[in-house]
Amino acid sequence: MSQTPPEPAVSPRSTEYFRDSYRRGAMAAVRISVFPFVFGVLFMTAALSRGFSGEQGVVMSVIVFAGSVLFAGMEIWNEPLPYLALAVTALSVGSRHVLMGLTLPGVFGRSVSRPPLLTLFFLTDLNWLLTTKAEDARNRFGYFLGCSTVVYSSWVLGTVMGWGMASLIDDVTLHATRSMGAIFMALLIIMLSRGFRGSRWPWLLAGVASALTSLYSQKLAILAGVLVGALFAGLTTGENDAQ
Amino acid sequence: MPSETATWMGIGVLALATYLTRIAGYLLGTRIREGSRTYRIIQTLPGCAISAVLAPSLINGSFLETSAICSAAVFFYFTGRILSALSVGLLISILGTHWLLG
Repeated sequence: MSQTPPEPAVSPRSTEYFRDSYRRGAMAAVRISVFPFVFGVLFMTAALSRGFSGEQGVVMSVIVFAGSVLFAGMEIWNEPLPYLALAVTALSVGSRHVLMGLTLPGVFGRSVSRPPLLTLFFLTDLNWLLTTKAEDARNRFGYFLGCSTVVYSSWVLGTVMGWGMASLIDDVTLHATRSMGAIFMALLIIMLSRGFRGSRWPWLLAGVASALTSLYSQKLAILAGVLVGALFAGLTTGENDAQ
Repeated sequence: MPSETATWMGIGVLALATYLTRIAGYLLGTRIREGSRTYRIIQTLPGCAISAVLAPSLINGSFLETSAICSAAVFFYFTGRILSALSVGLLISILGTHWLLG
């Protein structure tokens, strides 16, 4: 009697899985790479209109790589430059990256023992969301890097294009595109909501708390929202709740 | 505009602080046991953060901005077409602003 030999177990960290997932991640990001591209164009146009040189704009784009942080930072870019306020602004606006990062070890799973910390430089809302949703990817870290490559390239390309196109975008149009960040967030939360297995009540309460706080203090709004959402999630998540 | 040296240092501060936000969460997350109650709570937190960033724009934005955001969201919810949804939102915002200010 012949027995079929068991298939050799392939580690999620195998090069084959990594390459396949990397390619899939890049393909997934290509479809929505217009977001970072347009953000890049708008950022550079805004930076030039505020007195930054093209070179400074490109370097900011390349080494900061966070549109919301850059826009918020430019708002307080005065003489003398408030370094502490800049740091606090970056930490506050970028705080959602901390929360996204908290989930990453579980998302990456066994695909990587510990990612090189430099690769986390590429963490953005978009590639975090895509990687979180890609449950069938065999190497989620590879998938993350594939998304990141496309998102980062589109953002930097958008910045460079914005340098050349800045004169074509008038002030009224630039003013009108202020809402693009919020539009992006609205689409992001709908994408996140699809297939999410937990309760959405904490999200709703976080939004309400943040909106109410913003009527008194814009700076504290995000923090208040996250704290209320986290508190509610903490109170309502039981030991045996389904993940 | 601050001096060139001050500007480069400011860019460095932004870059460093932003990078810290990107690695801090991951480093803390490695200490949380998968499947634990804490683990399940943190799964909801990114949604809370996105919601907390979005909500003030809806409340404090102009009628035009709020309309653009809601139209894009409704369009995306029903069609699933993200690029079209973005275009809808941006078109409303840009055309509306030109109409109001033009």
